[in-house]
Amino acid sequence: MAVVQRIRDPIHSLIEFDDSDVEAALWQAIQTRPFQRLRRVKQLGFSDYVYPGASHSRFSHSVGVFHTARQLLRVIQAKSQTPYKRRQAETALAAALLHDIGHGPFSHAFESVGKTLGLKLARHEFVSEALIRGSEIAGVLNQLGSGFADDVAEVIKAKGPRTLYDAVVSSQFDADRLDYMRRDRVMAGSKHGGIDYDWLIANLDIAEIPIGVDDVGAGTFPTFVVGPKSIEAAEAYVLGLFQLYPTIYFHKTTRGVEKLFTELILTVFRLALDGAANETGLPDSHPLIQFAIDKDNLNRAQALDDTVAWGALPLFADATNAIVSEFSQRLLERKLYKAFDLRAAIKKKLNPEMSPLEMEETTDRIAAKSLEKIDLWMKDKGHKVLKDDGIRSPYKPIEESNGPLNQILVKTQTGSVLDLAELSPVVSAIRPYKFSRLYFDPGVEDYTSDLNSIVEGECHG
Amino acid sequence: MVDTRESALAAAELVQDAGGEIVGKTRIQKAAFFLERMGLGSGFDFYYKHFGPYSDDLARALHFARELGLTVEEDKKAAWGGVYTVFRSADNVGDGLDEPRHKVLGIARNSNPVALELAATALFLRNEGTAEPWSEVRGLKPTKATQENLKLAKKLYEELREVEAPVELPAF
Repeated sequence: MAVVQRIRDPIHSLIEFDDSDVEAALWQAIQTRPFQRLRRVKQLGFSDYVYPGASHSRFSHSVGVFHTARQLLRVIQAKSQTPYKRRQAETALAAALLHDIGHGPFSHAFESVGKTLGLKLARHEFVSEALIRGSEIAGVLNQLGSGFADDVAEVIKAKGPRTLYDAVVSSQFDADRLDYMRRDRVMAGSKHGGIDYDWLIANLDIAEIPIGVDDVGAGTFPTFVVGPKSIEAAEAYVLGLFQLYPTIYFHKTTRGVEKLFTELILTVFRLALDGAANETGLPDSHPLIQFAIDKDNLNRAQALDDTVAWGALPLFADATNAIVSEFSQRLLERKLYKAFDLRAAIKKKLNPEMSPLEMEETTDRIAAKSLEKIDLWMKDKGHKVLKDDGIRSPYKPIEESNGPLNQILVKTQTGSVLDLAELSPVVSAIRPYKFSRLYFDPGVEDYTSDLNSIVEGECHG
Repeated sequence: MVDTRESALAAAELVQDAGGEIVGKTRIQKAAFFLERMGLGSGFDFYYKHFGPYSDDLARALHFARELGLTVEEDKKAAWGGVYTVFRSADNVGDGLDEPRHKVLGIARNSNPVALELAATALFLRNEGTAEPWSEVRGLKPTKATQENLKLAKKLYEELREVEAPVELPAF
């Protein structure tokens, strides 16, 4: 195949598109309006408030996922015991390229607003499916065969592997993770989370693994596993993901900015829905107002991107609504709320001689009790205090039961397939990353001593 | 539902109304999903994941229910190779008088979880506007949606439809 298009990329260096039907069509898909919009949606939302270099877009990530998916498909071609299924492979490749097409401005913050207000078009999976099936992208994809666009949409909708080819799009070794964990650290300028990518890919293999639901088995399934020579590379992969959560994805400052933005947009949308858009500082014709009052219109959702939200900030600053005005100024001038780290405050008060596991379990218990009290304490604080908590495992949660699809699996020298945690004491010691934070401006009112008192009471209660 | 105590109590009530014990995260998630869609729920928000409708809020609430001592969880190794969780009530958290909730949770508790996942997925798809949800379930879950499991799922769905609830489940 002749190379006809090239993209330079900071992670993959050179990404080439050849003149095969599928790559020519995917190159056309990149030229569509929905895909070009991804240039204006940042991959890491507000992370550039902490890491100024981390301003890369979902456009570059998506092209990187396409490139990585092609490498994973070569693994399938080389190592699968069953004949290579070209149509399924091409479908997976297209799904990899298009998997993020539905993301809204500042993806996760916008989804959080959508969840609170029940906005279907703030859910990126829903929008992705609608765009792939119904926009100009469908026309481009269906050049590859009748129903091709629907097949691509189904891969994304399934949100997990139905076939080995789907594992390229969603699995512990999917192209999405293999691109973002490398790209995000480089663009952030972080040295955490480095992996031996080439060695990992060279040692990827395929194995049939059992799947089940709760206590009942549900058959077997082929997926990616690592070979015995890459146990250390697989360890670094899990550890890398584990380190990226606290340092980049759930960084306390980034999450604090997200909370401010979420509250800001929530307030704006509520005002618009109540017929009080004039209090937001935006004209009625602004894309954010238009979306708020016409929330099921896909074109309105597609008119939104990060630049639209950024452009609204100076207008918000003139809003008559106090929250809109204050929070937009804070975002413009980076005058952020400070984080009170509840778990850290608890750990400071515990016996340092506790084992790490006992420390975590005790912190979990005291954090839950403290949050009960904090919820009551927050009732009269309005927008002066914002709460954020979460939990994230380095593994992709594909199954609800903790089965092999949720594990990094190793094919040993004897051909048996084992969970990496059984072979690696480092990996087996990893616990999910948890955070519980309260945000406020200590310059306006410092709640640190109130919160420390609550923690103190629960530690000795 | 962001209030820690309120959500933890709602999660603990699920376990209690299921008779004090329910086996598996899928059973409890899908049971809660049916309760929400039948007007018998506590306000948990569900979206689609690989294993069907799922609520992060409920997962968070279950975590807090355990940490606040309202429920007890035990992880067990399944014969198929995975690990599943048994949820038990640790405390009396509700009046236990809501008969339709008991019925729904009783059906879910005694169900085959694969069939329950398929039935919940079909209802989710139907609510999203899918014309032929069972056919789409087959497409989305080819390994689980065997003829036998689909038959079980359809029977289970009909059983749930027979429970008198504020919102009637759609026929499809």
